[in-house]
Amino acid sequence: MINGATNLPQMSLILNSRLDCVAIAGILARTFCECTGFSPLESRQIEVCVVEAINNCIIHAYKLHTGNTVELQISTKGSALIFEICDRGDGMDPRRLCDTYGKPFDLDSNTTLNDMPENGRGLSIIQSLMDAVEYTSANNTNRLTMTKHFGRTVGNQR
Amino acid sequence: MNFETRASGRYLVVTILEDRLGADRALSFKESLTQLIDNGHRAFVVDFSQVTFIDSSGLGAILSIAKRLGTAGDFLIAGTCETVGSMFKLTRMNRIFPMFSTVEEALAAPRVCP
Repeated sequence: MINGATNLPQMSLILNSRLDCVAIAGILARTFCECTGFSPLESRQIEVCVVEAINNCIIHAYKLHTGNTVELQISTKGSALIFEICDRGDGMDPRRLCDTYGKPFDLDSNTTLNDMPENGRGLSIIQSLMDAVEYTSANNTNRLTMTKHFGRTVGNQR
Repeated sequence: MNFETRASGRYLVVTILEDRLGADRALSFKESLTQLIDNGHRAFVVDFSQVTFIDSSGLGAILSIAKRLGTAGDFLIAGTCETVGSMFKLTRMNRIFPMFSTVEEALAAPRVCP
């Protein structure tokens, strides 16, 4: 294990826009996290974030059309791991990040099964588990950047 | 989506034989369990002991199945590992679904719904 390593080389993976390809990217991200000192639970949760981000590219940006590409880049920056997920499909309204930030899963005591939506949790999960999330669209490329710092506990869990 | 079923008392125990319940398998899982509901089953214990990964699609499938079952049925979750359990907790779904460490514990629990 390379605890808190800051000198690991950047890694990239280019995926076909198929849902059955996403697990490979998640496993790569998890393995990178484990090698840099994140706990097994943290590494698994970061894997979920990477999978959610790529699922969003395939489902929303590419509307489940195969043959397009999604790129995952993993790098270190100081005391953080940076995950960038890029696609060239339909962009997301960046206000969606603001809409879900800080209030993702609060339920009151009267919440029942029928009150819970079946979809739309991906971004909230990402924002709950990552330290920072940014989204940009420029030059026909959509880029979701997720930052996770070493040595911080997973946030927003009660 | 690979799973196996066995009857135990009033429950149908559904053991998921996959290590991942993600977007590529969630629809198949939902359709399979919906078929079981449509065939008359009303009480389920879903055994997650072999599942090490779940994402929002998998969680959404569980919600969809439980809604199809309705309030007249039971839908119990058993055997989640730390990671899968943490996703239920993060999304507060642990407040909606009875969760048990093992299938045996779920089967022995007092009946949740009439």
